[in-house]
Amino acid sequence: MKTTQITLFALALASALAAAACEDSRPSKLDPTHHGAYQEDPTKAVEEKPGAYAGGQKNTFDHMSSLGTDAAMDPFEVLKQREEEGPAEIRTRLHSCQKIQVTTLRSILVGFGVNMDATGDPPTAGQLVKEGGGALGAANYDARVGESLVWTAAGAAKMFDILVQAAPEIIANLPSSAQCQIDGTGPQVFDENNRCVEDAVTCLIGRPATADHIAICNSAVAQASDVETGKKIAVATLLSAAHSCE
Amino acid sequence: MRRFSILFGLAASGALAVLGCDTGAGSGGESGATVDGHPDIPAEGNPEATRPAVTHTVLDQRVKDYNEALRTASLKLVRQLPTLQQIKKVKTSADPRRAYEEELDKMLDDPRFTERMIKWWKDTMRMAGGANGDAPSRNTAPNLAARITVEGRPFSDLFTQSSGACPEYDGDTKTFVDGDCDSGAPVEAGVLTNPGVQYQFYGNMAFRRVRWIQETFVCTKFPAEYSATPQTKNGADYVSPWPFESIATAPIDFQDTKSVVCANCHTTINHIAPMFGYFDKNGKYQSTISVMTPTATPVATDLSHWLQPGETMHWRFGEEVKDLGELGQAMANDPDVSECVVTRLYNFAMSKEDVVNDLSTVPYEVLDEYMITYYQDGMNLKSTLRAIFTNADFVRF
Repeated sequence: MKTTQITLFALALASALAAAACEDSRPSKLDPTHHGAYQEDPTKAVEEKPGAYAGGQKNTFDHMSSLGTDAAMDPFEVLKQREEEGPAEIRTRLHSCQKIQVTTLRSILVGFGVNMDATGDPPTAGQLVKEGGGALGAANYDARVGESLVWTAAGAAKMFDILVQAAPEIIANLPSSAQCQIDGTGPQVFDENNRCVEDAVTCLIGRPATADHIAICNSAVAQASDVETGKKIAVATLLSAAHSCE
Repeated sequence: MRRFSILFGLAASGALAVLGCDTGAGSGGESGATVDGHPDIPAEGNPEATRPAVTHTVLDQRVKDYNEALRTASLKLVRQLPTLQQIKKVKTSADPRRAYEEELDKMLDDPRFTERMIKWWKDTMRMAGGANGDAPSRNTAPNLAARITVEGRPFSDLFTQSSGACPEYDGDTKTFVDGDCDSGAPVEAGVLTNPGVQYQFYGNMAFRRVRWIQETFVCTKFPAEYSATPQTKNGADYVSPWPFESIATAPIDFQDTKSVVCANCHTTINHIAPMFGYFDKNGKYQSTISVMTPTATPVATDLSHWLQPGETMHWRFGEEVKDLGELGQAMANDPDVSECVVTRLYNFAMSKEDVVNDLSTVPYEVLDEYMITYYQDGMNLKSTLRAIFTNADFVRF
């Protein structure tokens, strides 16, 4: 009798476990029938054909190509880009380059000890960030436009200006920045021989510094008109190159 | 004998569990079980085995780099570089993948991730801004989406939540503050009845509101529907499954074909727009239609301006909805809506451009393993995001 009870209990447990496991029996593959084949050539889509949203002079309303005041990308440009980048199942699995968001840029600078509220003439890094929203691709929600995902030439140049202005503060404050400290101690950016310190470069670029990174950094210092200028250029160049993409 | 019974029972439980529930789904993570260390060639135990084998492409040239993944994830999820300590932890770890994932999980639980998601949704929804005079808050819709994301709630709540759908965010305490939308609509339905949305996308005949719904949550421009058997109307291609004559001809002729075939888009749009037409320019629901028809002298829109008599509201052809509550439910059940949000998450992680304006579409073969995670986890955007950030493609550069 006892054995029967135990067996029944075990089977009940088995059923319970199976049922519990079965709660996870959700789709293992998508239903491909609800959408057609992937369209590699966007110019063939109805909505991307020339004039798809444009009306005639008297008969139809001229529609905006985007929900906001930003413009949708020309489908022929998209096609050209796709032809350069390769088939969808390849190109979409590769990282692309998204611009550093404005808040992220601020966070990076603050993390390295830059005072974003400081003012000066020429303008400080903080002032350049505050006044450079347009160039940096900041959102314009009143115009129904989110923050830009890609750089413009003006935006990339603006970021370099900001980093050049921030460089002296970064060099001075990096050792005391929590961002770059281990056990309460942070590295100097340059050693007593004005050579770049590996840990500092690692912290600046957000990834382990290689010998090439250090060489480039040292080269920037050595080739400048004077050491202090070289240090600023080295830091700004490292940051700009490292963070041109997220 | 007793031990045998118990062992038998437990063995049976395992067998039943395996037999009954073998979905064949991947884990969404990265397994070490690969062929010759190649991540793309299907192998037993390889979660990417569901993918077609792709060899001898640029994908082969990528290098697994958990420090690079850490940097990218940190910038994207908490908008800050990884600390020197985090970098060294991953670099010196005997198991860099585990070290990376530990840091990733901390980021996903960080209040900075919440704030990043709020901003991401603001950009995605193209709206933000506090209440000002008659203008309602345009923060609450992105806040709701961010809250659903970070709390791991079903994404479908975004279209069906009937109370507390207009939260604010307290930056000091790093918490969401509950809030009802009080739009005045008979049924509250997540962002669909959000006054800020209605205000931000106010326009003639509520068309901009419908377009926002389509482009933000379905990720395609109109036309949204295609017939299996396209027809020719006055020499032009008519691709919609709707009866051509179902939409109005006056005061605006939506059946016009002289320039473009208006009906390709407007058969869908005009069956949705009337539900949004009752919100006025300040986003408040009124008892009468409160949008204008853009004739030479604009007039208040009437139902007959959108549709022929007898036509009713629909999300899609054959999917009738009576109100915004049912519209939200229809959207929640629409696989295209789910696929859209997962595409947006994927593009966010992989630094792609916008899926609508820049046509950064992702083929289903790449997306489907994340869709499986999304559905298996109950439409959970946070765990889907984690699956993307831990996938073999994300950690290879």
